[in-house]
Amino acid sequence: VPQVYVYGVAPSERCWRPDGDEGVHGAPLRVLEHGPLAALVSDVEAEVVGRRRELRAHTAVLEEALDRSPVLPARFGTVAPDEDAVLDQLLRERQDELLRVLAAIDGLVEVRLSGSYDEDAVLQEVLRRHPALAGPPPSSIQARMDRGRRVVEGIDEQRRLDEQAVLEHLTPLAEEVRADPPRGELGAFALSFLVPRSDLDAFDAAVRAATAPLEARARLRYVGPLPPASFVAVDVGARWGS
Amino acid sequence: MTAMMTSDTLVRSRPSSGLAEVLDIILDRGLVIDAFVRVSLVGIELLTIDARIVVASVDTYLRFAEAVDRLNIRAKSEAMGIDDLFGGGGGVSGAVESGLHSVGDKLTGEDREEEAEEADRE
Repeated sequence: VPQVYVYGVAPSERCWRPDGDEGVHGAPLRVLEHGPLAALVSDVEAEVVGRRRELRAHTAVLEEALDRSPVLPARFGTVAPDEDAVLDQLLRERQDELLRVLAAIDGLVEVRLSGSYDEDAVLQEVLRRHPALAGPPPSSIQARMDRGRRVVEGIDEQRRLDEQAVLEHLTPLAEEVRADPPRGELGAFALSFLVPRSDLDAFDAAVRAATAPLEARARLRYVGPLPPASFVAVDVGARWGS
Repeated sequence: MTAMMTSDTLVRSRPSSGLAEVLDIILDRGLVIDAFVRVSLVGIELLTIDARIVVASVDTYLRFAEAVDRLNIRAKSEAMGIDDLFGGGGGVSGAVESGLHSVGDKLTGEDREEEAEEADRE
């Protein structure tokens, strides 16, 4: 018996109507409706385990839907036992709350800007700011560790400077900003911005201007638009992540 | 709309083609319906997920100490020029330094290969 994979919830009136489009595991997408709310779903028989292809399918569905209406995304891998569960426990029981959130995020999208340093380039910058680190290699292990610790602190300092510079540029143009801890030894920053869709072109230009000075030392990635999952917090019945 | 931009400026990618960058958001954020199953994701093949915040360790310190030494040596040999390195009385230290330099190049080459593999896995 197939279960029902849930991608997200949108207002019925404006929800994307898939026409032969496929979701996770190539299953045809369909819309379940209850009054003013619609859920994008597809049948799923095999286990969803987080393969790249599954993640890509999940994301592509939300992408299409977001082009047409506000969407509350379900976390990846949400599976309902059957259609009735989606209609009753999601669309009916949580109607007021879901409608309220959908109204609040109407016209808003999330974009993600992250960067990771080129090791040599960021170290050059650290050495430029801390010439004391440029001496000949210390001989004792303790002194070497101490030098390494100061280099790591220098990279941390660089992170703060770079994140601050980017935020100063972009915060005034965003409705909300969320700064996550950068990943890895050479992660520079990981920033999410809540932006009106109608302002995206202007925001793109601002992102290019804000990041231009960093291009010499960081690999930058800029992704969007996403449903604004980093910015919605609802706590009535349904639980929202992070 | 982004297709017209030149390749040397930062272009916004669609989420389904910039998956690695939005993985945390897809996996950790969004509506959770308590009554519904959330799959366990044991088989998740995306190794990027384990690249969370790294707590600096002794290994990290030593690695970065070595990395700045390598940069310092390179900067010094570039400033001196090849004739100075091998001319006069500095022969021994010059040879040692240029040896270190080529070790550094090898390491960098390996890093590049690793990056290329990571890109392939995407």
